[in-house]
Amino acid sequence: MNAKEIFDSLKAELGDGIIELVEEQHVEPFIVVSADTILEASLVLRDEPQFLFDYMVNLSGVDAKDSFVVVYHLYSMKHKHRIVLKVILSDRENPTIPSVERVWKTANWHEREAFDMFGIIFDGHPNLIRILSPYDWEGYPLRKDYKTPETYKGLKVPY
Amino acid sequence: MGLLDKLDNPYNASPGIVLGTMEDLLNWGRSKSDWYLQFGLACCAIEFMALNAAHFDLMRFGCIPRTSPRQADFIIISGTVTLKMAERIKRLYEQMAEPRYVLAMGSCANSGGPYWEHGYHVLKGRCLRARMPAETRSLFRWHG
Ligand code: SF4
Repeated sequence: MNAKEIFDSLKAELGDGIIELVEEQHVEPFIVVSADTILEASLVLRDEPQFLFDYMVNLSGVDAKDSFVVVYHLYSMKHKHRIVLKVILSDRENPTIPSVERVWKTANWHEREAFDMFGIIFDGHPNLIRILSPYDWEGYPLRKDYKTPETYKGLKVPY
Repeated sequence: MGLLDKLDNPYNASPGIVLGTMEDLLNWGRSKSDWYLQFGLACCAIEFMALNAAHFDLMRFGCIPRTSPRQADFIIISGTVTLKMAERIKRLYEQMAEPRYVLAMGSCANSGGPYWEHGYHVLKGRCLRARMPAETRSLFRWHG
């Protein structure tokens, strides 16, 4: 299936939660999904025989200045088709989204990374702790407004 | 010149300078057969592994990688020292028996390398030097 067909049948199934399909040249087409629908959409995309997206290639966070974006890259081993989902979180103070860890186990570490770097809270994640930075690190380093700390445990950081 | 001033007191000054020939250095190394800690950090660790493999074969000098810091004479800081790792390195270093040496390899360990400006998570080399006690600040520079 191509992106248009995937979008149409997903829209027919889940309605308003599937917001739009963006097909620009030079960029992989992506489907914008609302945060409330993402878990349901993930289950449909993984399990229904026409989709069978059994492989989560990547999950990443993006800081889009006025919002945070979570990007899902999915692939189907059976049908050999791929799709990109994006969820836009406009609440910068408290970016929260349901976890898809129970749909694709890969998401476990990827969501922890997005949490570590951007402070996005994945609701329902079994172990949402930092994965790369030290556990006692303060702030979320990949946020646009992040300020490098002067010291960490007495070590001077910037020079 | 700043460098020449340091020549007067090579063993005392903070990283001091000793003049000599490459042969002297190699002979000194051969006579000691230093055992080094088998410990790698970033991409420099790949070069470091090559050092031990067939092409460069460091073992021909009697240098054997030790998996325990208690048996190692020196530790090669082979790569980027992140702040998270810095604590572990210090701990490994403290477990080594004296006399112990430190060798900083590559520009990351020496100065922060490509992470100099934006590496919020990287310990810059100068800082690393300050963490090690004075008698072991014999930092050599390798590539980079
Ligand atoms: S100096 Fe740094 S970037 Fe260069 S090879 Fe070593 S660890 Fe990697």
